[in-house]
Amino acid sequence: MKLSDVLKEFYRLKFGQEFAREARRLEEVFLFFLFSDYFGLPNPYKLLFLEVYPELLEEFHAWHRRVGLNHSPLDWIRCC
Amino acid sequence: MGAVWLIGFALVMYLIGYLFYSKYLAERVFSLNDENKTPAHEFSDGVDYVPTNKWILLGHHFTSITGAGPIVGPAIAVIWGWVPALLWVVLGAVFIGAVHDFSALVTSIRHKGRSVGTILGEYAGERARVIFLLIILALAILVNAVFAYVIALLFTKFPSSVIPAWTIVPLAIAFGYSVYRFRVNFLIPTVIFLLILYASMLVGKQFPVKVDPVASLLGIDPIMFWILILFTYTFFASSLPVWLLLQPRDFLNGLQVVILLLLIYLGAILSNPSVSAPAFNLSPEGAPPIFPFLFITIACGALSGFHALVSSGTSSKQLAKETDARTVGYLGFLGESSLAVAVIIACTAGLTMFASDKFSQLYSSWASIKKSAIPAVVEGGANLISSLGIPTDLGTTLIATLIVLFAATTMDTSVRIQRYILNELGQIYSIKPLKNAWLASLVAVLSSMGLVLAKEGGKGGLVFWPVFGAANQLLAGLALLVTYLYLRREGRPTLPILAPLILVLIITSVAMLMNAINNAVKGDYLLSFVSGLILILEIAIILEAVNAVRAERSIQA
Repeated sequence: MKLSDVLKEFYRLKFGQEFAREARRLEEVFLFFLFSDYFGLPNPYKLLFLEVYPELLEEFHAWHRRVGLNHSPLDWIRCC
Repeated sequence: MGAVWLIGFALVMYLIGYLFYSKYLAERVFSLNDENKTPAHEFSDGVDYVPTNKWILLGHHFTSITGAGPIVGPAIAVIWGWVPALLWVVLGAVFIGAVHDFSALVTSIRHKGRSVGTILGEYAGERARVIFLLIILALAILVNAVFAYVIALLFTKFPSSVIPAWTIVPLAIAFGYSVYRFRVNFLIPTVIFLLILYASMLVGKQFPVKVDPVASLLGIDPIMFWILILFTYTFFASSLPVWLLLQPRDFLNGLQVVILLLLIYLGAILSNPSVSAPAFNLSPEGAPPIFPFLFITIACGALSGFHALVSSGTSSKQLAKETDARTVGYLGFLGESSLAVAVIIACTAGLTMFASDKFSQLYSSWASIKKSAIPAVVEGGANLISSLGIPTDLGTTLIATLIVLFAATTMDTSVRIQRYILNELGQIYSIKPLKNAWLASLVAVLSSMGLVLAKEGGKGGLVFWPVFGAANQLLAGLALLVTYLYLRREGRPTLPILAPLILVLIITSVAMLMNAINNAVKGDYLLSFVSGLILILEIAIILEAVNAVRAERSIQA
């Protein structure tokens, strides 16, 4: 392993995580919008969002695991 | 006897501990198995849970647990002679401290990477978790009181360290911003910023900052002046987002720890000064008895409960394989302990390299080390590294600055920790004002500042160190208790955990009882009161432990 790679990993552990966490938070807001219909909140961008559903299955899976749900909370998304 | 023998003894014991004892723990006690998925794999999310190369994780873990703690404790404790201090640091690390770090790490990965506090709540109930929070709160208040004094003392005794110590603030912000903004090769910004930091030490040496005129204008002591400045700074610094100041600072500090260790060890090996401090000095003037006080004076370096927070907070979520825990947890602690050994060598051999009566001067009585123990490390360390061609005046600036940097980062972190805990307590007991971040910070800063300034206008700040050590070991006791409950539930051998747990509880309770009574008799009611509080927390823990074991038994029956 090169010294610069070592430093990069060291950086990730020391404070890269915080940036990644912030990026993830933004993504979670996005996901919330994506599924807002499900919660009964109207989503003005519904049609645009519809196109990205298939792309987001994996993300959705990671998200529901993170928030403490072991299985998909939505019966029409069968990720696990 | 030459200092090299001390290094040799420590290294051989560490090697034996790592090769044999940690292997025994890994195989027989915890039965680590690489077939088991670690939380890093199970919950892999690229952010909090990431399987990481064990050597890099070791570097992160080691630099997160090592700071000013293993410097202050041994610097005071060598007053009882170097033999007891060295034995406790080395054997304590091998059989207690490293076992504690390692077991906290393993217990956490066996509980989905949860932190020790959460697991404790699971085994022993909500009340135990509140006690856990209260101990961390006490720990944070005490460590800030002591470290503010340590930094103020270093600034007054070594005014050349003022400029480099403050340079790090804009430097860390610029560093954090530049690596984030221009995702270039890390090596370049790191090297540039380290060079600027070292250059600022040269500047500091040329322009020492003495605050005596300003302080006397305000009618206060220079130490008190710096303490006020430091707490004001900490109040604001701890309110900044972590990525802006604290984390880049932590990154740069992490590299400094490694550099400091290398310099001192190389210097000691090259110069091999003879250890001229007394091997034993069982009753120094004015000092409390060696048992149990030596064992709580040296907490970090021999056993430190704060490590359980790192082990179970970050490291456990990054561990790629179960067997890596041996390297990260056990070896990581031995790294910290080796800094304590370096400090013992600096104070007992380095200090007397050029003036043979220096040790007897600085360590003449318990009262005098309040002012001289930390400067002893700086001077001793500078003497050692002078054999590498670094002039002593630059050496003192370097070491004083590094100690200031470590201590200041800890202060920032612990004000944040206090704020989180006050917030959490506010939530548990629905106390609205505690949920306010600014108010919580203010409470955090004022409590530490009140404590240190109440002691002879700040000049006696170091007397809280043994109490801090006791609180730190109590926290370790709680982490050991969690591991013990886990191993009991699994039906595994518990002796390697139970023995240190009982020993820690005995040492800390005897010490706090004696501290409370002796200081009350002497009329030092503040110290007596603080020790009494820690003792009460201790009793609460023992009761909770008995409760938890009983509850477990009734489930099994």
